[in-house]
Amino acid sequence: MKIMEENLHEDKMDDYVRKSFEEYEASPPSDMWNRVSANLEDVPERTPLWLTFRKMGWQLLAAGVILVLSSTLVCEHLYYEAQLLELTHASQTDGVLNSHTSASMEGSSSTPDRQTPETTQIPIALHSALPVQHATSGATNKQPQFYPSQPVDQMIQQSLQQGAATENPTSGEAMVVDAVQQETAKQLNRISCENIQIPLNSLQQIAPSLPALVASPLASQPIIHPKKGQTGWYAGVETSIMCRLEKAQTVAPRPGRPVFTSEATGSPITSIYWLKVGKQWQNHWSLKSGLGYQQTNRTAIHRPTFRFGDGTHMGTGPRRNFNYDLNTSNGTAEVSLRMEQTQPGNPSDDEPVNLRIETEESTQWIRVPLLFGYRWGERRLKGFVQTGVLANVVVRNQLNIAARVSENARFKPVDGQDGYTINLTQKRFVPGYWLGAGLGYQVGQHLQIQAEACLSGDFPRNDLYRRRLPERYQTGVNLGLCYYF
Amino acid sequence: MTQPNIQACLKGDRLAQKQFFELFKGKMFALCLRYANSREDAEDILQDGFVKVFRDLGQYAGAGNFEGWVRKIFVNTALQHLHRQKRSPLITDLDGQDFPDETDPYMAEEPPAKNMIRILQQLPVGFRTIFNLHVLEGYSHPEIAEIMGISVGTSKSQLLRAKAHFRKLLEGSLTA
Repeated sequence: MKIMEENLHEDKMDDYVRKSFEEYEASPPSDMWNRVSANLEDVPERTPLWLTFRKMGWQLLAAGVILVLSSTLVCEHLYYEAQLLELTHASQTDGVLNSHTSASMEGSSSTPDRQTPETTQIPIALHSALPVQHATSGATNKQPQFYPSQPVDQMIQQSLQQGAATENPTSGEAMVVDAVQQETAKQLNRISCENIQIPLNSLQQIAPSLPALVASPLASQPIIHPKKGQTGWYAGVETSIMCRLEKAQTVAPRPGRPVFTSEATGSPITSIYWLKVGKQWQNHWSLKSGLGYQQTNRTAIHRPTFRFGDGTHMGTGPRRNFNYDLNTSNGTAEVSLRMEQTQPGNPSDDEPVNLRIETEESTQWIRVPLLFGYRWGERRLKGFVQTGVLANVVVRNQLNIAARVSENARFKPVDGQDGYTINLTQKRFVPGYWLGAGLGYQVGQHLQIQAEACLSGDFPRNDLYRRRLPERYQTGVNLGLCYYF
Repeated sequence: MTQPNIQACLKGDRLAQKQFFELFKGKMFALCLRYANSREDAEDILQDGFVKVFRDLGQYAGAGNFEGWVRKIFVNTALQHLHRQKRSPLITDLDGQDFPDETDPYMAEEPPAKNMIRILQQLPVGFRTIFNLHVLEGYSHPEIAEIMGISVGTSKSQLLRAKAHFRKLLEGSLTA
C-alpha cells in the first residue's frame, strides 16, 4: 500500500514536471545565431558516394571499360589454358609416339587424302597460346592433327637445303621448325595445338643431319618454343586515379610574423594523364620515362588568431592590417588582411581578432618519371613492380581567398579587393618518388594492358625560409595500354 | 508551429537556417539547460546541436515528428557533451551523503520550469541524465540502459534515487 502511494506520488510529480516544461522556452544569448552561423561555415559537405563517382565522369567510364576488357581477356586466357592442359593430358595418355595403322584411321571421315596413315606420327609441341581451333581424327585419336599443304618431307628438305646454303646445320634445324610453324599457321589459321603430328619417316630421313633428333627418342620431339615475350621499345598511355593525402607540419614563425597552416577540405581525388615510352630487355627488366599532366584543386581552411594590438594602423581610419605567413601545400604565402571595427569605440589591445579563412589553390603539374621495372611470368599475364623518381614541375599555380569570416562580431574583414593581399612564394621544381606493383596482360603480339596499384609522393620539402612544408602523398590505381614495337 | 523550410536549409540558405534557428532555439535551449551543468555548458550544447542538425538535415526521412527528430539530436549532443566533460561519473552513489539544500529564496516566485532547471542542475550528472531521459523524454529503462551503457536494474534504481532527491529539492524550494 505504501509503495502504491509512493508510486502515485511520483507519477503526480512526473506529470507536474512534464507540464511545467511543456511550453517552456528559454532565451539563449543574442549572439547565439552568430556562433552557430560561424560554425556552419566549417561544416564539411557530406557528398554522397554516388555523387563523388558521378563527378569523376569519363575517368570512371574509361576505368570501367579497361576493367571489363581486362577481365574478358583474363577469362579468355584462363579458358584456353584449360584447353591446352586438357590436350596435354590427352597426349600423355595416348603416348608420345603413336602408331596409326590404316585400319585405325578408317573411322576418321575428316582425314584428308594427303594424310599417310601408314607412317608413324611424331607429335610436335607447339606452345602457342593462340586461340584453339583443332581438327581431331575421330574418337579413337583425340590429338589435334596437322595437315600440311605440301608433303612435310619436301618442306623439310627445302629448309635443309636453305640451311646447308648457309653452312649452318643448326640453322637448318631451326628453319625446319620455322617452316613447320609457318605452314601450320597458314593451314589452320588459328593454332593452339599442343601436339601436331608429322610423319616420322620424314624426320628419320633427315635425322643424321639433325643432332637433336638423333640424340634420344625424346629428342625426336622437336619443341617449337613460344615466341619470346614482348621486348624492345614500347610506348603507352596511362591514367592514374589518385587520392591525395597531406600531413601538416608545425613550423616556427618568423619574427613578428605568425604562421598558420591550412588544412585541406575538398575532394582528395585527382587524375594524372601519362604518355610513356620505355624499353624492355631480357624479358624482365624495363626502363620507362615520359610526361604526365595533373591539375590539382585544393580547398583549405585556416584560422588566424590575433590580438587587436597585433594589427598595424592604416592611416587615421579605424582599419588595421594583420600580417602572417600561411603554410600551404605548395609553399608559404605571405598574407595581409585588413580588418575594421563594426562598432564605434576603442577596443583594447587584448581584444581577440579571430578569423576563419577559406582558400582555393589551383596547381598544374608536369611530371617526368624515370622508372625501373621488373616483370615476371611466362604467359600472357605478367606481374610487375616498378619504382623510380619523378621530376615535378609547377607550370601554373594560383592561390585565392574564397571566404573570410570574422568570429568576433566587433570586427569584420574589409570588403573588396582592398581587403587582403596574398603572395605565394614556392619552388617550381619538386622531386618525388613512385612505387608501384601490378599486372600486365598481353593482347596479341604488340599490346599490353596493365593495372597497377601505386604510391607517389614528394620528398621532404622546405619553403624559402627553410621551414618544412606539409608532406604530400598520392595513392591510387594506374591503368594503361602499351604498344610494343 | 510554422513549418521550417528544410529544403532551403539543406541548400545552405542562411535566411532559412536562421528562421529554423529562431523556431527551435527556445525549446532546445530549455532542453540543453536541463542536461547541462551550467548555462555556459548549455550554450555550447545548443551551438553544437544546431550545427549537427543543419549538417544532418538531409538524413531526416520525412517520417515522424520533425520536432522529435530535432530533439533527439539535441539529447544526443547533450549526452556526448556530458560524456566528454567527464567531470563526474554518470552513475552516482550518494548513499550516506547529505544532499545540499541550496535553494534560492526567490526561486518559488520564478516560473516553475526555471525553478526546476535550477534544481536539476544541482542534481549529480547521472541522476539528472536518467531523470531527464525517463521523465521528460519518455525513454524506457532498456533504452536508457543502452544509451548510458548500464544495466536496466541500475537505470531503475538510479531513477528512484534521482526522483527522491529531486522531490526533496523541489519541496524545499516550494516551501521556502
